[in-house]
Amino acid sequence: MLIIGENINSSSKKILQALQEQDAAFLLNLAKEQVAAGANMIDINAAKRLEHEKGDLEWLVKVIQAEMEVPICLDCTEAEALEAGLKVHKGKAMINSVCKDRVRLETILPLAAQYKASVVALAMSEENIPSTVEERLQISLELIKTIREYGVPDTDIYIDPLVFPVAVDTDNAQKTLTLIREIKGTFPQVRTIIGLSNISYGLPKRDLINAVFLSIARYAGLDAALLNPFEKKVLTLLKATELLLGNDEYCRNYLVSYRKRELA
Amino acid sequence: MVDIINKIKDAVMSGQADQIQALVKEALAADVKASDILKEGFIAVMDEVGEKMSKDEIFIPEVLAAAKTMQTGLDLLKPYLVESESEYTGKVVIGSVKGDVHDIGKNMVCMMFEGAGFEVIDLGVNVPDEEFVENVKNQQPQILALSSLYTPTMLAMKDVIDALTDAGLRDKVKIIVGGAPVTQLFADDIGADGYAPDASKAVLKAKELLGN
Repeated sequence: MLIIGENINSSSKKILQALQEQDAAFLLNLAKEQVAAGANMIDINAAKRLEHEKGDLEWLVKVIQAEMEVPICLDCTEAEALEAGLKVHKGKAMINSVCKDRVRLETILPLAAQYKASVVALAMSEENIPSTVEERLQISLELIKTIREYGVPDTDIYIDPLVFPVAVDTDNAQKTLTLIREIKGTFPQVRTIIGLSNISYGLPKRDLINAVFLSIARYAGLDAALLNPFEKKVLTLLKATELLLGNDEYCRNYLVSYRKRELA
Repeated sequence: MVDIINKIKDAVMSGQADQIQALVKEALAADVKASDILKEGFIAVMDEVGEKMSKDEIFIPEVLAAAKTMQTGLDLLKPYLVESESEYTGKVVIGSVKGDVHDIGKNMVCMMFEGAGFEVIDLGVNVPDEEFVENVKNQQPQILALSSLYTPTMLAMKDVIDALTDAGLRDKVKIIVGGAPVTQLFADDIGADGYAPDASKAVLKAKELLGN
């Protein structure tokens, strides 16, 4: 499963400050720690830096990849800033994200095709975050069709069916699970992705809810998740989940983690 | 009387929507004034709910259950409330600004206002500036509440305030702003009257601005 570390995000005050001060050591260390905790891709977001976003993304990709071979998820909706990051990126990048918005699709999808990057597509439009399963499925299918037209292969398309807090409606987890199953059932090669933590918004002991939701979403067919890799419970439960779903031959990863005392 | 009011309070606080109508009937049958049921049974409890929420003593689902219970009780109580003796605190027009489609926080604010006895006109999400202006003009609310959860749409709050100024309506209404990226500094910058960090504070801020 693809685990994307979410912690380098300019909506956090600490990160915003590190970006303002161009504190390479701090940001590189945060990327390293996320990888050590189990992330295999690093999300970077500099949206709050407004006009500096473009320069920041380019700089961050260079800083992180100078010392690590980790792919980067460029969390950005401005084509120009995205391209600056993609140009200097080594290996396969991910673009996060497009939605059902003509301008965003037309400016960003050519970049995905040109740089052979994978692309996250949210099951929503600029005007509307649909709450029903039917609407979100309909938008997902339309998005897959549009993204294919730009020559992006199915295996590079990551549909985010959206996650809403169970605190607000206890059907919200089931809705996301249904969408994952529907999308994987219709297009087995297309990937699914979620931003995990929204599920537990407004409730105490969020890591417990996050951990169990990731496990059952994985069972439903989820391919990738954007999450906080420092939530130990989440990563630990995922190791057991992969083992039980037959994704860990000879239980190797599970036992390696056990010997490293990571399964506490 | 104290006993039945306490039962109503408990039912609202613990979100027992299926029991509330029977309790309200019981109170009315015992000649408790409808306005007392509203004031002490509902509004006082919702104040407490807001306070507990901001201290993380209760959580969003419990607030929603309490609000639903109050609403269910209020449906039964309304016909008994004589206009003059009801706890009418004021009128609020509220919405998520243009470009912003988030509604969870805004809906919580709506419920807290209703719980506090305000009449709430909810314009929904992605509301164009003109619609805010129109409603301030026609509905004449005392409070306009603007929500934005998303950094790129924060400036749309300023657009609404500017549009009201242009329409000559700025001094007709008190404007409060809120949402995750919003700060007191930002609220001051764009010329809002108040800022609230969460749903319960929004009501307190509104009451403060109205001088009660």
